[in-house]
Amino acid sequence: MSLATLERADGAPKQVRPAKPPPSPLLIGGVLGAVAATVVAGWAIDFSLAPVIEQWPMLTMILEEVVHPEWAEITDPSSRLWIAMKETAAIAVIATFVGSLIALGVALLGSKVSAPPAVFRVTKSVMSMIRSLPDMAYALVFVAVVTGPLPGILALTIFNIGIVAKLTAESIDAVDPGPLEALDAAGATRWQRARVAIVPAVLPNYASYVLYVFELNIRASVVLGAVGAGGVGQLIMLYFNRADYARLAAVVIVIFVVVIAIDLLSQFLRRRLV
Amino acid sequence: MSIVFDDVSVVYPNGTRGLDKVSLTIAAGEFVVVVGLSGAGKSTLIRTINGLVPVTSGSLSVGGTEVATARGRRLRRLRAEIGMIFQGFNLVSRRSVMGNVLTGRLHAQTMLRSAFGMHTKADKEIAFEALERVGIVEKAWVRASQLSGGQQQRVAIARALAQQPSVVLADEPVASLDPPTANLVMRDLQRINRDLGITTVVNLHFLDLARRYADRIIGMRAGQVVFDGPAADADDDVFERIYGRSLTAEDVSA
Amino acid sequence: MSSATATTRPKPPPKWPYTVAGLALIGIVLVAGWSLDDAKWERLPQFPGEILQYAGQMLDGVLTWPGGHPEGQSDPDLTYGDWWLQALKLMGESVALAWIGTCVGALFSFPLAFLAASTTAPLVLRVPVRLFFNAIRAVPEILLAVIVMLPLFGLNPMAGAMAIGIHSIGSLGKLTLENIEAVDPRPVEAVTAAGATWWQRIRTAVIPQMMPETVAFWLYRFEVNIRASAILGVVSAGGIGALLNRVLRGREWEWGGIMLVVIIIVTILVDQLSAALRHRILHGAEATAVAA
Repeated sequence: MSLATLERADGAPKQVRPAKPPPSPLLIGGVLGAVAATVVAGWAIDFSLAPVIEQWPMLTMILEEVVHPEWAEITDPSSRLWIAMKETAAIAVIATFVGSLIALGVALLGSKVSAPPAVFRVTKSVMSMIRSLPDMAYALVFVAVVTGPLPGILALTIFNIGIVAKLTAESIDAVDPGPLEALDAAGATRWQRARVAIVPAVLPNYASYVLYVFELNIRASVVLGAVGAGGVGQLIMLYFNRADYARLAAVVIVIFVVVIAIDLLSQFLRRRLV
Repeated sequence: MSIVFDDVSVVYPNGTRGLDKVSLTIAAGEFVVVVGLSGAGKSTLIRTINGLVPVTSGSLSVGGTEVATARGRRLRRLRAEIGMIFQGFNLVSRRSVMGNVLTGRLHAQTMLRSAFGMHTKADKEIAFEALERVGIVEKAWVRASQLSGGQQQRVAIARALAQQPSVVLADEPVASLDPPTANLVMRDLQRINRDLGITTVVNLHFLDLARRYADRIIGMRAGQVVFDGPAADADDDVFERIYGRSLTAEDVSA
Repeated sequence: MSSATATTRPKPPPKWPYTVAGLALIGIVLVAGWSLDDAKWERLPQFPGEILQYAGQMLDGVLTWPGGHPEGQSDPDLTYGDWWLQALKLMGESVALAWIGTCVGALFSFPLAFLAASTTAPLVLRVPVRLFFNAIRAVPEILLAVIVMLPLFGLNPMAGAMAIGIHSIGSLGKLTLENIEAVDPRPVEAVTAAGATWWQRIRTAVIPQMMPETVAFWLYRFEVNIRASAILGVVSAGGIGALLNRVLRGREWEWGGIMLVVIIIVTILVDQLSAALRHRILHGAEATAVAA
């Protein structure tokens, strides 16, 4: 109030209060775009929650069986479930090891810090093509050659190379350029720069990515079996096709516990690494 | 090794002129300090000497080797002869002090040895001697990241020494250090220059450290050399020419 | 440290712990390999040759003029173009169900995350909500689909979308709560000092700070979910996966090649679009213009 009177006393023109600006057109466009995409997607998949009510009795029937799991599957260490679980673990271990090892080399080729421009561009586009196919697609093709754990291992190895190489290459991009300049000034070769300055700098990140894909691999190898690539997935499909929900429930419990245990272990290790 | 600049200009890709027709001769064994404001071209000058910044025109030779045309293996061999010290120390922080000093020996290593991190006895001996020269040998197996700034810079000096260089370049080596530590590091550089006869070129922001340690001072402004003479001649008048204003207490205390 | 010890050269630290750890790791891998007694390792050398052969046939399918008629089909009018159209239509369904799944995940994880973050919720609420997030994350989508969604929705994309949606609540919830906890506490303190309620604090100081990162995570999750939807196809929960499974198992490589190429192209396009959007959301218009 007093300010306004002061201004008038000075004879200065009354200051116009700016109006609230409208939201940016990009924000409006973004929100409208998202709404439109949701409507179209909902229509494309016939979105409807009606079955939840109509089919509820069906679900309760199944859940009735699920809450009485076949405990024998879990308590007997020589059951099909445990054999499949061991296979799943072995697939994940081998695929993580081999895939991560190759990925480290690929990552060095895939960063502009460590590779010549032509090499890193080619590597990057090949990697993004490899990543764009889901692991399931690789498993399906490999299963055509031979069934069992081997195609599962190969599919996951490729999947791991894609993820670990991408994340590690990004870490390499972010490496402190100071030590690299010092090595250049000391007359180091490209290979020596990688060995001495880049690899040690990204090692903790790399190790944490490896643990991360190991987690993913345990989950993924559960699923890959569904197309005949070994492991628990095969069992899931078998029980699903037989509608043996009591045994399926036993599988769920074991997967649940194993996945959570590995999550916790890898979280603990990763916290110590970085 | 002597360093000869002949009409050297550097233009960066974004159009900035780093050096503008610089001609200079630095004799073998000299201790030269380059002073000037940041952006005056000090850093560019020093980085052209080992080819980290390519020369746009003119000729620059180090110990008779033309830097501008050197590529690949020849450039690396030249760089092996030139040790470099940086403002930010530029150590690989996750490696031990020893590991960092040994990077100065990389130019003498085969690919297989550097792959497995194996070093010859002779290389280790050179690294230890370098650490002893800067008085930090007891930290040899400590991680570089656990050292103080002054200690890290001494490790960086040892790394440069491990190259057994004929020239040492130091780019603002004391800018990240407190004044007492800065004097210690400058004294190390001076001692190394006197004991080993290594040609030494140091960039400094402030004139008084330069006056205290240099044989010769080169003043730069806007990519050009505006002063070149013995340290004793660098009076307040010269300071104005380099910095474009008169000396204040703040400049001297650093 | 005295000057006498300073001149003696210290001994290098022992290296054996690294050697032991390395050998143990290799040992674990070897044991894992040995335990797979039906792995048929001897077939490994055949892979490159056979895969190359299949890839060649796939490429044939991709490079053939879409108007042409593939051999050995029961329907003589069928063209390669029909295969392309069918692959595109089903891939569209995959993208749609991934989008709906992501929406479901975002919708439920967002409010729940505020009940799970240490900065916005008391311990009694935090523990159960976090347990809930971790629990759904631990159940693979395929199990969720098989046990709950397929009986409810039948063999159609709604089942896939809901399986992906529920699973996404877990992962998005965890990331969102981490975003909430990473918020700069000073503005929150200022708003609290001004007498704001819990809701006002979240609305005015927390949400504006964490929204860009959270929306970027939603988009990223959408990319992940497109890949996940392929898996759900195997149990016929919608999308391109079911047909891909059938075609590749039937060794119809030409058709399979067309489907894989459609998957690659659509996935890369969506990834690029989403990456550009994420960059715009996180770094603003100026940075995007420079990057482009």
